[in-house]
Amino acid sequence: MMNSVSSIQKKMDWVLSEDVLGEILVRLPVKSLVRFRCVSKTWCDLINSPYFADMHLGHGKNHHHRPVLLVKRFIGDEKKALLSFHSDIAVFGVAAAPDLKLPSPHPNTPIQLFGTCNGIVCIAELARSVYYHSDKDKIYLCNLATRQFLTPSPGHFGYPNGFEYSFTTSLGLGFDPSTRDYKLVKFVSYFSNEITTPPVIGVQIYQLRTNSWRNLGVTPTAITHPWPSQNFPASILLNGSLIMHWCASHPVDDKTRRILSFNMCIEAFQNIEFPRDFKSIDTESNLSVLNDSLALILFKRRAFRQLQPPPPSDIQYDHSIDIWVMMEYGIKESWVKQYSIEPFSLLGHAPLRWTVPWSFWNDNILLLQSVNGYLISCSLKDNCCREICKYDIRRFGILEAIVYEETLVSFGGIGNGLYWRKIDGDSTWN
Amino acid sequence: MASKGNLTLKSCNGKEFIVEEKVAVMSTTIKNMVDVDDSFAQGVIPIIGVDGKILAKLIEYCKEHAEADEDEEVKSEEYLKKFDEKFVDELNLNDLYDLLKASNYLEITKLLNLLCQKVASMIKGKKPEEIRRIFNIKNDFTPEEEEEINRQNPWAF
Repeated sequence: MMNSVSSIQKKMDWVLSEDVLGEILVRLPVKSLVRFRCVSKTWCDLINSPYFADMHLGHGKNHHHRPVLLVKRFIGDEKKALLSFHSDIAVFGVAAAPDLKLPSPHPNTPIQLFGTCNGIVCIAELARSVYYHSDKDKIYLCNLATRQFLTPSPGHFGYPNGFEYSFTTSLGLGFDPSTRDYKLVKFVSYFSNEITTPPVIGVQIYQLRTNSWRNLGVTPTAITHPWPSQNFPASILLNGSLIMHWCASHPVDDKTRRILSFNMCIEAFQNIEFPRDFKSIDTESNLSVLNDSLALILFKRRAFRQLQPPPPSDIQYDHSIDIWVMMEYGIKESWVKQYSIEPFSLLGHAPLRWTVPWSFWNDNILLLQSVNGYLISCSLKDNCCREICKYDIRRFGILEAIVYEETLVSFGGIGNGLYWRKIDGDSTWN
Repeated sequence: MASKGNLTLKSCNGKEFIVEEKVAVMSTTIKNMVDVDDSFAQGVIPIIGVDGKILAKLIEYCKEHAEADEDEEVKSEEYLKKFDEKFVDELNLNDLYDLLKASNYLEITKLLNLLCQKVASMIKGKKPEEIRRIFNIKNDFTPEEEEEINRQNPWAF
């Protein structure tokens, strides 16, 4: 017996001395890895190394795993927002981590999620009323898996000539593979006191490496639809460039819609056309990514005209949700209607019309919110709907949901006044 | 002597196995040997440091996967998945480590991945002290250092 134990131990010495240890650890969730840092100095150094963080990130991407569903909601009548974590589809509704309280730098302005990249979630309170200047936006970049966050330094931009107000329209976080740097892109609408002067859209870029913003100027006039109308960009890697996409509208003519794309590497914009037979009237649209392609979720609003009088749970609901996939990137003719979620499967789960948490989970589930506060999963395969969780939506009716991967990404060697801070056990963001 | 299209593998304790070439070359190491030196294809290929029992296991695994690569209809993805699950479930710790070492040396990537995944699932939920016991690792932190690491991430414990 003694013999066999010591022979196993000898073998283990071998396993640990080779690259095989890395190959084993790379398959573990962040929570196990953080815990295993105190096994020994060798393990700690390996897990803390940027090399291992990269390896872990790459492994997660290749295997499409470690996705966590993050839901932002408000606590009853309080002004605080909470983040809830759900893991694995097989065990729906089971919390992957304890709830996290979000900071609330300005009372009465809701804090929102603005997408995710490599496990870093962008959370921000944007100046969305004329009382704030867009330079006063409060932005948090968080690695929620390692419970760390940092706050980028604010930008200092005035107004273009002839404009007196600014208003942040959207924000997106991306990774530029060519410089291996993280960037934020911020869309700001400028308004004038002169009612006859139409608003213009300006773009500002933040680079993590320099911890500073620069002004990219006003969007080129060739871009007819510069106004992002959704919070989470749909990001796609194309020929080594990360391209972010938003459904976007025209600054004046709200009825037409296109896709606004922004190439993170060369910092160039483009508009991409919607499917040919898209009728914008009364149709909600949201862009997401399905099987590495752009996917457009379209949903007719008409049903909700029948909403009066409530109760909302009895809504008669007669439209399907259509999911169009762009089979060949950038080619308008390649839009294919790939899924239709039939109204009967949504009975009792009438989707809330103005929510935008619609996104996909693991390429086979569409997430939506029902009017009565349920977060619903709908299988693309058989249209089968399930309730993931019911939330209290009294204060602000909208949930925000985002699927993100847990990573060890920690922007090794950041400087320029940037430093990671811990989100404490009692959820204080200091 | 193996007939054409077959290779003879010899374990470190002298056991010989005649296997089809397509099975043997699932191992990149063997493939390189055969590609570089034709005499290996004719004669006997010594598999250093791998005994007969482990070599038989390796061949069992490679045979299933080589056949599946050739004909997806007979051995579907679903079938392979079940085979893989059963294959790792039946291993005792001792064999698991031997196979891990052998598949690393012979560069049988698919099998190495499968075994690493098995070890990862084994240790995923364990406490650091259990990990040290399983892997025979000496804790080289001072109690203060260890407490400091624990204090940084209480939510992970």
